[in-house]
Amino acid sequence: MDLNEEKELVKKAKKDPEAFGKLYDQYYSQIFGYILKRVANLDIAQDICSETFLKALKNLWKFKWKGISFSFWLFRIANNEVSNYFRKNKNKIPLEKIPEPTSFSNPSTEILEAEEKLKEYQDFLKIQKRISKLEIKYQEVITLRFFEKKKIKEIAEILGKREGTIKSLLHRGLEKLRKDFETK
Amino acid sequence: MEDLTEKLEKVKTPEIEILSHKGKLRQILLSQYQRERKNWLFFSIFQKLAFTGLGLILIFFVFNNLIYPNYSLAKAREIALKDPQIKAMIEKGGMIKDLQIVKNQAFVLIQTAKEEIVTAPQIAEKKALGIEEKAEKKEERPVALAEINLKEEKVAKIEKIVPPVVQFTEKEKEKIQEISQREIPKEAEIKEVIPPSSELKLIKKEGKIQVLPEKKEEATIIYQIDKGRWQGKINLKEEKLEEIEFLGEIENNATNGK
Repeated sequence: MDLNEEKELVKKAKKDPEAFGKLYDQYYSQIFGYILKRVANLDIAQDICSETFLKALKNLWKFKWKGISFSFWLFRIANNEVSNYFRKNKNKIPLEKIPEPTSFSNPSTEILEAEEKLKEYQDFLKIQKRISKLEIKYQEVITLRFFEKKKIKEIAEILGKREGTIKSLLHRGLEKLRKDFETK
Repeated sequence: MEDLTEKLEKVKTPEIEILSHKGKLRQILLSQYQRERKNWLFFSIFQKLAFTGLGLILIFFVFNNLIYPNYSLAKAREIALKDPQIKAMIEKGGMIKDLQIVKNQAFVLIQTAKEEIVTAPQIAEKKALGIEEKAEKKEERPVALAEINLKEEKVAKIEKIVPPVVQFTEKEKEKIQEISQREIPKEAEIKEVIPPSSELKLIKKEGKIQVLPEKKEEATIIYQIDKGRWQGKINLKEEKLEEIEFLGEIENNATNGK
């Protein structure tokens, strides 16, 4: 879908639920994937993803087309939701100690399979664990840059910051991450 | 750092999708769509009304505080200048010193003649200072305060006011003495300390108008060394003597205005 088609679809989505459904189908995977890479937990990722799309629906009337992809707006909402989650749960439960969903509920086979699949990405999980110890501002730029493969300009759009700020956050974040790798 | 960057770039990230979640969330979103759409309409109308309201408030504020007062002041001046009594005052050398608007009424302050600042004459051209002193006393001419009814476009009242005389406070007196002692020669004899000329202003206070002098932080000092008389201005703010001027020499029998 090119930008013009997307623009039309967003315009339609403000009047037609089906068009909104199309937008959702288009971006669900990207947004869920980003959230999962930030929290590395399927249960939490599902909750935050739901919250993200509900917020998007609530605020769609405010969305103004600025010539950049609608997904950036969704990324921004998702990013805020992830940050809110971390802030609310700060000093509550360390990420690695979040109980396995199997101990609370009777999840579907699909979830169990997904859990198993996630465990296969051990290298990612190890790095993510270290990234999650950094301040939120560093976590978001590193995840968007390296896991989402976004350009500096795109990260700046998503986070609503200047490109220079993103570059310096990235540099400092990587420096902190490197020190963390060196110490352990 | 490069190793770390490479590691981050090469790490395989999970590409997991939970279709049941995707489907359920889609259903929830679509079921909420119509309700949310009503909210969008409500908020967008509310936002438009709020912006319009803010715009109107801004226009009202600008009109009330910038356009209307200036227009009213110009109108008040025009009405005042048409009044025969004020016209006569202006023709005799008076001038409009200030204008103010209070509760739909305009007040115009007219100074009947230019206030004279005491300056000692140059003796070379005039007679001895003692003789001149009487003539050079400060003339406190009354001012007139005209009340203008803007609705009826006429002068409602003209009141003559004797302007209050500016007096030095004790602190100012001390300061003047201190600066004089420091700045003028020890053998000099201070003849007179003159308060500054006061510009009269109309001041709004508790919905009423008051004619008050706008005090300048200065004093004129006249001092004598032998037969020579000097004048200087004491700047109370910067605490220094400035604009020193030689007034001339006086005859012995005319000193001190005796």
